[in-house]
Amino acid sequence: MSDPPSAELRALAASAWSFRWRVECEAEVRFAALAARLDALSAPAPLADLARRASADERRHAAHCARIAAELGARLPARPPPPSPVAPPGLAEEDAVTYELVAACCVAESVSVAVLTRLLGVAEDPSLRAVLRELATDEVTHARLGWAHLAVAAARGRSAFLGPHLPAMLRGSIDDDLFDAVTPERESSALLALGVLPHAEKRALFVGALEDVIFPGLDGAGVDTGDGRAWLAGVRAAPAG
Amino acid sequence: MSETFRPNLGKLLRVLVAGGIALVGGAATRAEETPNPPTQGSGGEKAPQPDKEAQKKADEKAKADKKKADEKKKAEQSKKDAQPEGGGVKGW
Repeated sequence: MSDPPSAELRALAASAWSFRWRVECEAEVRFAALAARLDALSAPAPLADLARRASADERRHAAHCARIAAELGARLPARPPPPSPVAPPGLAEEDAVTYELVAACCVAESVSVAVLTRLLGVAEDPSLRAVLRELATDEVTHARLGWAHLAVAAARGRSAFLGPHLPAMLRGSIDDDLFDAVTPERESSALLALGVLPHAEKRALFVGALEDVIFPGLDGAGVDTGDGRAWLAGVRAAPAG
Repeated sequence: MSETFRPNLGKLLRVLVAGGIALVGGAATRAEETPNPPTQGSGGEKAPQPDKEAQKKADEKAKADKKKADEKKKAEQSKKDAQPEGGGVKGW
């Protein structure tokens, strides 16, 4: 049996689960708002229904993340502030909703599914495994919501505008230090047992998700991913900070 | 790690993207099948033959219109460049 994780690793994991709690709280609010906006745009009914369901899922996920963070010693505030819209100003409402759904679902949720799938493959604690499995199942549906909406937008000829926005969308989806070198503790494989990816593995998973899932999916929906791919090549080539 | 995990990511492309498209397959197809509005001159009628003077005027007008469109496009691009860019959503 392996040694119990050090206090430092537990603190790192507590920080990661606290961050996830905040992400899930924000997602609950974002999906509820998107459901109302999809209704107002008379989008296909399944999309708004999925967004409403996703909002309820995220509330449940936030509770799981809060519990795990607390077990690891984190103290969480009452509730994070609601998220700001991420679509650039000046877009038509229909395109702004597409931007939000692509950023939240096609990018963030698709990467989350990849992360959860990886964690599920190595987690041994039954309680942690149950949470990861529940979240992974839900996040698949959340990611599909984005790809479904994008397919509708593409069929209406309203997806190509996203191409030039991809660098900003992708830059905003990662931690500032994802492509930087970090402390040895953050690279520890012992973090996996606490439901957290070592830093380099998280980076590799993000790159893999972009190259194998997100860029091909966007290409298929009529979005020119050239700018996004150039952004990725640039951050990968930049010297580690 | 990435080498061993990438085949699973390939499967995700089908699970997420194709699965998502399947959710609204009908809606996407319906939107695709919506015909474009008919364009002028698509009714099969023969356009009148312009004389040379009219042709010259039309060419000049087209040139002026193109210049105006180019300037408008340039102005829009400058406006776009000045606008704050969008952001992203963080996940796990």
